[in-house]
Amino acid sequence: MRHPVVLEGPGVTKEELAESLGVTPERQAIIREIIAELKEREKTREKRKSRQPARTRR
Amino acid sequence: MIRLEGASVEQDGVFLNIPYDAKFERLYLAYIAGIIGFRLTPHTALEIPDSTRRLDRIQYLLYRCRYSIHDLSRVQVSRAAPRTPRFNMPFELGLAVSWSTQHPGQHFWFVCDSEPHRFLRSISDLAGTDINVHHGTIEGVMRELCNIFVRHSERPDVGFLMKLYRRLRAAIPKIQQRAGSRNLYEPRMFADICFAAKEWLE
Repeated sequence: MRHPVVLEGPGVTKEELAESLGVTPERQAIIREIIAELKEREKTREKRKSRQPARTRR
Repeated sequence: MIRLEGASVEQDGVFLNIPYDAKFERLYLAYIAGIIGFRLTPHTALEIPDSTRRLDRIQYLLYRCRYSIHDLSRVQVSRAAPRTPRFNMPFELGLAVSWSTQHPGQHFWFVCDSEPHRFLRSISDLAGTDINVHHGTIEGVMRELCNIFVRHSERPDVGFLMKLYRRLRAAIPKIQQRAGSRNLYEPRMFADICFAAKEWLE
């Protein structure tokens, strides 16, 4: 087994990634909107789950 | 001979040498999520516009990336006649091996496959090389990425990367719908998927 490559530094930022891959600001905004919606949905789902009473054995 | 005149090596760039077929979509998304999870930038030949000579651009992209991952799990004979083996992945691996030999310490290449010993029959020249076997699973890809890379500042594990993969997958239908695309292997889709994974990560 080869040893893993140790990555230095914090890695790429979102801006650097977008520039490197050529994601235009308009497309960035669309994707941001989609992910924000999914994050919101995930939060709601988690809240709903935490509100449910724990099942107890009879 | 391709030269990198004026272009510096992308220290966080990973050239992804993979097949572009429907059966590979899950692993394609897994590689993207995993590489983004390590805060690296994936690159593929999909970024290459049709107007340029494909081989020149592949070499340019490959040589600009500090790392390359070559997935040989679909090196097989095509179903359509005339039945032909797919040489692109091993060919690009050969380019990477040659480049890293000529430029020691500048480029690091890794071979992934779904089966542990098949490569010894298809490319026996690699005998003695440690390859990364993902067994054709998402979790396997994440595990092998964790075996390939380690980042001290923030150490993603398989669980973290799997969560990112699931979140990214959930976003795909919407991204495709907004882009009016049915094919994940389009240049625009590739870039959008990478950005979506990064957006989930932040």
